[in-house]
Amino acid sequence: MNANEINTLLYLYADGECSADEAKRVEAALESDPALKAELAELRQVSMFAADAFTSTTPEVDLSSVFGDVMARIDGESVEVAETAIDGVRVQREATEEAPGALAKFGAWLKSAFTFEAPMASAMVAAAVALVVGGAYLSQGGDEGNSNGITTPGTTTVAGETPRRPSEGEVPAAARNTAFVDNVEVAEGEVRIEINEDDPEQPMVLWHTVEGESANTGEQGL
Amino acid sequence: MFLRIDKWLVTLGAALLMSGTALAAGPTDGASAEAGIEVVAQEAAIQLDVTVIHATKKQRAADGKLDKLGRYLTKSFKKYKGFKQLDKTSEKLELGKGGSLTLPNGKELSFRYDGTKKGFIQLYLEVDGLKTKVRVKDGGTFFQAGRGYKKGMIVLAFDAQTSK
Repeated sequence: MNANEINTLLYLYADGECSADEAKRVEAALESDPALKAELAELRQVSMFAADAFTSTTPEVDLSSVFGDVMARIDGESVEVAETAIDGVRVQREATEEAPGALAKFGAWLKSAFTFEAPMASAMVAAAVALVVGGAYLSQGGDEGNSNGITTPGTTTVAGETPRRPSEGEVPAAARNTAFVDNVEVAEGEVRIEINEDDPEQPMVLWHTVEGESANTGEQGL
Repeated sequence: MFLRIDKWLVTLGAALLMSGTALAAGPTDGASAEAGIEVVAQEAAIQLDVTVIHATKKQRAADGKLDKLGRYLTKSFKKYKGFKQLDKTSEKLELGKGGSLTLPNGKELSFRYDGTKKGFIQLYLEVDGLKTKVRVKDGGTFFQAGRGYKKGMIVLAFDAQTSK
């Protein structure tokens, strides 16, 4: 019997599937070949492990929550990330992005304007700022009256109100008797300009009083 | 860095150009009207009515001659109870032309039409040491008052409107 035949019979012998005659021949070969004995022992060990794998019991796995988790995910995006029903398996929720609102868009445009990503937008912003500053400067009020009581041209003084210089051509909507003093000079005495802002239809009064004269204009016509 | 400075210059230049254009097209400050007789006339002549009124604190009968002025007088001069028309003149003034009127207190009133602008009539007045330039809305009225006369005061009412 050659070595190949012995090796073939050895597998059958290890599994107990040889005939009696074949078993005798293998046993005879085993007695004279220690290497063959070692191989037989190895074969028997492998067989033993395989048998254990088929016969041993596995721990029970709880799959009862898997179905519920999957359905919850399908039903709505607001489902929390579920705890893993099975070790190593993770349920992921896709992130959703909301469309940017109007405020966010304006903020992005403003950012592009100040970082010169959009040159025209930058120019518009700068022009708007310049117009506001320039317009505010030009529309500032006029001069105060001096200590002699002679008011600066164009200013009005009504019972302690702050003098205000109207711009040229300024016309309230329905004020028929609107008038302005552009300048005034007096050789003596005091000048006061009265405009009734509560009643624009009331004519302006240009007072010129000299101390000592009979006219008493302490509290002027208002 | 250099590129950003360059962009700043371009943007600043464009902004200044645009704002300068807008401001130049806008209304000008009133101080520009003080430069002499700023003739900006659109109207060749105006009608100027000057009414000389004696205001007293003593009550007296209403003067029918005052007409619509009576209502304005009582509101503008609340401390005065009596108003009497002493004189009245109505003159048609051409651009740059004026007139004069002798007041009851012996003082001289001078006036001149200096033009119209944006619906306002520009007048120059001079009376008893007072010199002034006034703008009044076309068809409007204003008063000059305060100088004493016979236990009262003189009130001058000016009505100005462009000639039609």
